[in-house]
Amino acid sequence: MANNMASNSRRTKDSPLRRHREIDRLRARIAEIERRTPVLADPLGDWRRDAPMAAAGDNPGAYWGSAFGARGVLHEVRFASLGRAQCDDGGTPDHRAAAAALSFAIALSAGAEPARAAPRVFIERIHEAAGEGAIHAPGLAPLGVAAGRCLFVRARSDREALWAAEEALRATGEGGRFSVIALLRQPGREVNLKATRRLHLAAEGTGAQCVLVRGGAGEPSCAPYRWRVGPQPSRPMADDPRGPGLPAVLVALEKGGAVRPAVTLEMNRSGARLQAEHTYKDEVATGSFHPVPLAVAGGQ
Amino acid sequence: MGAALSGRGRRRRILAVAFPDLAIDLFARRAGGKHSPDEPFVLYDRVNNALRIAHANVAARAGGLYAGQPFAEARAIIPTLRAAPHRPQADAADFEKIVYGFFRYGPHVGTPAIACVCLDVAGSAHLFGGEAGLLADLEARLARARLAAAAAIADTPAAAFAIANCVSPVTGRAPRSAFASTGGRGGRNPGWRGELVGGCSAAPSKGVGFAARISAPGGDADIIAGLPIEALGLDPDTAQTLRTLGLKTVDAVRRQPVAALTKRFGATLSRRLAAAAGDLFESVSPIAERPEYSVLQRSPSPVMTVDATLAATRGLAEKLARMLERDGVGARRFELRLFRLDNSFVIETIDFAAPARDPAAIARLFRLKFEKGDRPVDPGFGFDALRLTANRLAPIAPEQRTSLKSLVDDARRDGDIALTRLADRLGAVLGADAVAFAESCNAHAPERAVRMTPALKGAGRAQDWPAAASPDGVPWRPLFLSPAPEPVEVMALAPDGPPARFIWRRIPYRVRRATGPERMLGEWRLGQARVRDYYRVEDDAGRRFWIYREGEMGEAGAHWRLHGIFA
Repeated sequence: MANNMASNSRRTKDSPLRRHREIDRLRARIAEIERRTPVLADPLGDWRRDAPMAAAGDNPGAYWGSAFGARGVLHEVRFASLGRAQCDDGGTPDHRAAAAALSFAIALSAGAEPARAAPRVFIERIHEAAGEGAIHAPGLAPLGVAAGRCLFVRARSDREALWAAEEALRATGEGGRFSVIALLRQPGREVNLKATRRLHLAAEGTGAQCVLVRGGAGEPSCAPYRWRVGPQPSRPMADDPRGPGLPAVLVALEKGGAVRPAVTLEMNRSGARLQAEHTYKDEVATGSFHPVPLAVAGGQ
Repeated sequence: MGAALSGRGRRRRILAVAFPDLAIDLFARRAGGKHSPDEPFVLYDRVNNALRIAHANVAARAGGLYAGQPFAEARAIIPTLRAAPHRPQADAADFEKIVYGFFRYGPHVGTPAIACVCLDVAGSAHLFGGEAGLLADLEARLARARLAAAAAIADTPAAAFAIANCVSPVTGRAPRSAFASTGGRGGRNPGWRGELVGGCSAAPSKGVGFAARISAPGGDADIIAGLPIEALGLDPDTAQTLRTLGLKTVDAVRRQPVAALTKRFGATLSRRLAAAAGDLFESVSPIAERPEYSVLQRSPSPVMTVDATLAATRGLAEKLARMLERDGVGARRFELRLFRLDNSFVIETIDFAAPARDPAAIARLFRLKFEKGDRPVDPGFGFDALRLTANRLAPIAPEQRTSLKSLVDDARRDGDIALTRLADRLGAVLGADAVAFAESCNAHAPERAVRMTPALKGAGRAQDWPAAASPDGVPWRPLFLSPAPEPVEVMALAPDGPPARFIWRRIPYRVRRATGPERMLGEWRLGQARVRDYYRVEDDAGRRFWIYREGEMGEAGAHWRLHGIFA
C-alpha cells in the first residue's frame, strides 16, 4: 500500500498531500538541526487536513466495502508515533492515540451486527497496562461491548500475547468463536511477518476475527487489512454542548481495499458510523477551531 | 476422652515423627559415602558475622558441643572437628520430599513444627498390619533413607509429639530420668501399655536410629504425666523457669492451679497442657489438599517419554471421569503426581474455571502444561506410577437442551462455555492471575469500580453493568484507566473549574471542550478523605482525557491528576 501511495503522489506532483509532507519533513529537519526534540507536530499531519467529508452515507460497511468487519482475517490497526507524520516511521508510539485505535478495533470486531457480536478476548501486555493505562471495563459498555462476556488476558511478553491470541482464535469448540483484540503498543521483533502470518492463518481456519492494535514502529506484517487510526475532535452534543461528544476517530484503510480518503468515524453503543455532517474541515473553515501551532517541550 | 474424637465423632490416631538430627542426616545423604558418622561433625552458620554451630552430630554432642556455640570454641575443644556450612534451603527442599513420602500412610499429612511430621493413621494402620506393623514399615523405610527418627502414635497430636520428643532414637530410651521413672511405675499404671517397637542397639554406629512408642487408645494421660516438661514443646525460658521451680514433669505442672499458671506463664502453657491431656481439640493442618477422587496407575516398565506419559494421563482421566460422572459431579482442580523410579516425583496441577470432567479437556490442559509450562517435565529414569486426583468438586447438571429455548440463547450459552474453556487453557500456561473476567463492583472510586476476577477462581460473572454513558451515548468512563494517576500541571483554569491549559508528561495541551465536575468522595475507611472532582476534557487534536482535582478548588494542597484516556 505504501508503494501505491508513493506512486500516487508521484503522479500528482503538486498535490496538497505531497506539499504538506515536504513541509513536515523540512520542519523535522530544522528541529533536528536546532536539537529540539521531540517535535510535536500533529502526528496525523496532512492526512487529517485532507480528510474529506464522507460521501457514502453513514455506514462504514458501505464506505469500505467488505474490508470493514471482514471475518476470518487478521486486521492490523496502527496508531501514530510521536512527532512523526507516518505511522510506520518508527519512533516512540503516541500512546495517547491507543484509545482511539482500540475503540476502532472494537467497532471493527462488532462488524455489521453489533448486537450479535462474538465474545471478545482482550489481550494486553502487563507492563504496558501498568505504564500507559489498562483497559477499563466500564469504558467498554458505551462502545457496545458487554464486558461481562469478555475475557481479559494480561501477557508478560509479546510471545505470550501472540500465543494467547492464536489459542483464542483456534478455539471453536462448543459453538464458540471469539473476536480477539490484541493491544501491543510497542511490539518487539517477535511480532514479525511469521507471527502475523500465523495469526492470519489461525483466523482463516476458524472464521474468527483478529485485530492487532499496535504502535507505529516494528517489523513488517502480513495482515491483509491495515488501518490507520488517530483521535479526532468530537462533535458537540445537544445535552452538553461544551463537553466532549461521542468518541470520534479518524480512520484510513491503508491496505487491502480500494483507496479511499480518510474519514471520521463516530461511535456509540450500537456501533460506528461515519461522521458526515461535521468535520474537522468545517470547524476550521467556520473559525470555531484553531489548530495549535507547533509546540516544543522544554521550550516553555 | 471425647476430645480425642474429631469433629465428625471419629476416633483419631495420630502418628507423630520427629527428626532430631535432620540437618546432619540430610547433609550426610547429600555427601554420600564421604561422610563418616562416627567422627565429631558440625554444621555452622554465620550469625552476626561470626561462625556459630547450627547443628552438631551425636559424637560432637558427646564431646560437649552444642548448637549456638561459637565455632572457634568448638574447634578448641575438639581439634579434629569436621565441619560444613549449613544450607537450610537445600534442607527444606529435601525435607519436603520426605514429607510427601508419608502420604503412603495416610492422606492427611501436616508439618506442625520444624523437622516434625504428623498424620492421622486411624483408618489406614490396618493396611500395614496394625500400628506396630506401620511403625515397622516406617522404620525400614527411614533406615533405607538413613534418617534418625523418633515416632509415636497417640490419640492427639500434642500427646503424640510429647511422646515422640521423649524417645531418643539413639538410645531407644528417654534422655532424662523422668521418662525412665515412668517405665518404673508401669506396673502401677494400668493405662500404660507403651511398647518399644524399634530399638536401636546397633544404630549409633551407623549414624541412623529409630525409636517408637505406641500409646494405647485412651492411655495418653498416664504416659504424658510422667514426661519431662520439655516434651510439651515450650519455649526454653518457660521450661527452664518451671524446672527451677521444681516442676519437672508434666504431672507436676498439671497439679498446679490453672489460673496461677496462666497468670505466671501466659495462656500458651495452659493450652499445651490441655491439648496434651486431650481436653482441647487440635487439628492437623494438612500440607496438601486431601483428594476427593483418586486413580492410580502402576506400569510394569517405566514410562520414559512425555508422549507416553500424556497417553497414560489420558487413560487415568477417562477412569476418573467415569467416577465423577457416576456421582454427578465435576472438579475444578486436577493434580497429576508422577513417581519416578528413583523415588523422586513431579506434581502438576491444573485448574478449571468451571467444574469439569471431560477427559479430553483434562488431557489437553496437561499437554499444555507439559509443553508450555515454566519447567518442562523430565521423566528421568522413567515414571513407574501415575496418580490423578480430583479436588474442589461441584455438581454438574446433565446436559439438556429444550426446544423451547431460543437459538440465540443456546448460541450465547455455548459462547460462554467456550469462553470458560478458553480461560482454562490460557490460565494453565500464562498463570491463573493473567486471565480474568471483569466484574462490576458497587464502589465509588473508579479504581475499585471493577474487579478483575481470575477466571480460574470460578467466580460468577456479573452480566449487568451500570450505564456509564450520557443519554446521547457519550462515555463517562475512560477506555484506559491509569493504575497510578499521573500528576498534571494546570496552567490556566476556565471560570467554572475545568483546566483550560495543562501540561502532562512535559507536553502542553489546550482544552477545547470540557465538562464536569463529577464529584467523587474519597472513601474515609481507606484513609482517602479528600474529594475528587473529575472533568472530561478534549484538547485541540481531539484527544479526550479524564482529569481530576483532589481537594477543593483553591484549597492548599489541591492538585490535579490525569486518570484515564477516552477513545
